[in-house]
Amino acid sequence: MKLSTNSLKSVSYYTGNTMLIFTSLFILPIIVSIGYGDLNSMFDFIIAMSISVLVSCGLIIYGIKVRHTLEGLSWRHGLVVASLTWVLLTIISAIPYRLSGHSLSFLDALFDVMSGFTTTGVFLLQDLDHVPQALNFWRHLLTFVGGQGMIVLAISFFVREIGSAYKFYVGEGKDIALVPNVKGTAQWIWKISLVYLFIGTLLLWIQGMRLGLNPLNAFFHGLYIFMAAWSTGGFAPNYQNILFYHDFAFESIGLVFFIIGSFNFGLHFALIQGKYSEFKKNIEIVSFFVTSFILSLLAVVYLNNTGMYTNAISLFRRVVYNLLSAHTTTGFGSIYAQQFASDWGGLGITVMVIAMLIGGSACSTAGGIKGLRVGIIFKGIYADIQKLMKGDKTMRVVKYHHIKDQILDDGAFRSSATIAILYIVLFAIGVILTTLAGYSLLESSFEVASITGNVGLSIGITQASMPAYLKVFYIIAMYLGRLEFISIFVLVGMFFKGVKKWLRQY
Amino acid sequence: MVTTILSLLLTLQNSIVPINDLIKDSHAYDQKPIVIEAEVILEVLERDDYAWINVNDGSNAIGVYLQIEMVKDLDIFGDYNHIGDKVRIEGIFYRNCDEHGGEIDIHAKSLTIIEEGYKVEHEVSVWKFAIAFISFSLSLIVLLIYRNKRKDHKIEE
Repeated sequence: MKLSTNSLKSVSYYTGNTMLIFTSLFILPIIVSIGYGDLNSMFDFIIAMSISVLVSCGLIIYGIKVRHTLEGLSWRHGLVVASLTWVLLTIISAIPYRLSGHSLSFLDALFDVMSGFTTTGVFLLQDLDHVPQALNFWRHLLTFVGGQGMIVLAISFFVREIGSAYKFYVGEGKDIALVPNVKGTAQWIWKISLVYLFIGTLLLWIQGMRLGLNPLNAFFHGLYIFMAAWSTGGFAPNYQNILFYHDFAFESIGLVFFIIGSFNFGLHFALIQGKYSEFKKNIEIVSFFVTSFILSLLAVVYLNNTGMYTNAISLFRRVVYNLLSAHTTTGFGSIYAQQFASDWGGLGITVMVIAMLIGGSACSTAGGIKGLRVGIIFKGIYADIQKLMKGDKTMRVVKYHHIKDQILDDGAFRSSATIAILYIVLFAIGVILTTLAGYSLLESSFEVASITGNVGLSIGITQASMPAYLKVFYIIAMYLGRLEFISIFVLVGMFFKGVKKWLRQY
Repeated sequence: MVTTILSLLLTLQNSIVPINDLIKDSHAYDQKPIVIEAEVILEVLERDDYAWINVNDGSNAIGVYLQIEMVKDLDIFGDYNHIGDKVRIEGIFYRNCDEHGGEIDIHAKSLTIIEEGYKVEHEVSVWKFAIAFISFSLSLIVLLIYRNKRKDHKIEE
């Protein structure tokens, strides 16, 4: 990997531009804090916004001389822009958390921001029931933007279409082209999300008022729950998460939006274009419904037999709901963390671990290995077994449907298997490190599957008091899981190349 | 096991149980009378003649289902600007309430306000103001430099 000053400047220029567009989001919590007369929060966000402007402009000014050569930015540098932007924005976005006094350390603040950006949903924030409205707004805004992607946000606002933008877009773990140009694709992703934001917030707002919340509280709760559901984030404004509302209808609206949110943006776009048959044929949707049905059935039968939940409504609201929340990598919990450990037993937890690892759809707001890859891997293995069984010597073309009919070749199988293996390796390392901290294998598996799959359900391990090394590992695991490894590996590779070059020079 | 039996014995003597203990040892407390003391959070969620309140005692939070007349004296609810009324609740704990879709909850028999809530005055931090002012001014200067540089490079191109 060639590391020239020009390439550094190119990376610096685009990273700065992307960050500067994101910086404008700080205005929203500042408005909320002014609305609530909360000057301390307003200062927290002004400080963070100013630092963000300073860093962004510094990076742009450093790289501005090479802006006319940017059309030829390499793939590696495109991937580095994506992964570096995420690191820098995580650090800057953590400032208001720490300044609020609700995060016990800057590491805890970083943990919460990474959890938000990656749409994981676990948190270390203290006294959630008393956090300022502006900070709660910021938490949910981060998870909403993180779900679509910071790069996607930035590309939507780029003044002109640039050839390199697709490379940043891929670096953020998205690869679908809704329209021929990437700026148009990014804008479509936002259009789809904003339409759902309006509908979802409105429905939850009305339901919130029906529950007895005053209109202002109902509005913010509706907005937050929608943002967390659609982005499959799983945050909620109060400590009890979705349990706070004690309402089946409120939970169900959330359920609908987190399932829709876990679908591929390509599928949403196909449905907008009137291609309704896509819903039945798409390999990811088939994979999602098959795995959801099998896993839900297993969990329902098991937990019904243990006597934990004895009627259909309880089984749906406590078992199927959590299972779907896990499978879509949302993380809304309709039971307490401790209940997974005390009531769900070995099989219940194993089913949840599998659901969390599989995750939602590729190019959606969801995490995990993804239904598309699971579908491809199973289809590939099935085709190979069939070939062996039949002793077939002729070449057979195996196809799958994802937006269009596609041939399942070795390349598609290999790339799916590579990401799946990387997830499993990350999961295994996480389990080893968590068990080293004294937690049981089953509890560790649950927590690490939730972290690596960007889910957000917890069995009780994720707390401010957990060892610092686990917090650091979980931050890295959430980051790797969300960006799907490759761009981060390139960033690390580029960093070490730079260090090596610097050491050689001096 | 020993802690569970001890906590149950204490409960039987009308001792206050931390909410987190109720959830952790939910099998032991299931359908038993309990007493908790906690702060009321956000708002009352009304359901015809009944209502839900959410209470937090610092160890955890839980939903309490009660008759609507029991909440009429509640005045201050916990949020960023308020410490809510602190209440003592006597009731029955359910780890899997059939009436409420399998939820962990408490059905209250009585509610007493033991400490009235109050408004929290958040003093404006002078050092935060100073840092915000300085950093905001600096960021405006850097934005101007950036704007000029951009103009210069557009002319060069």
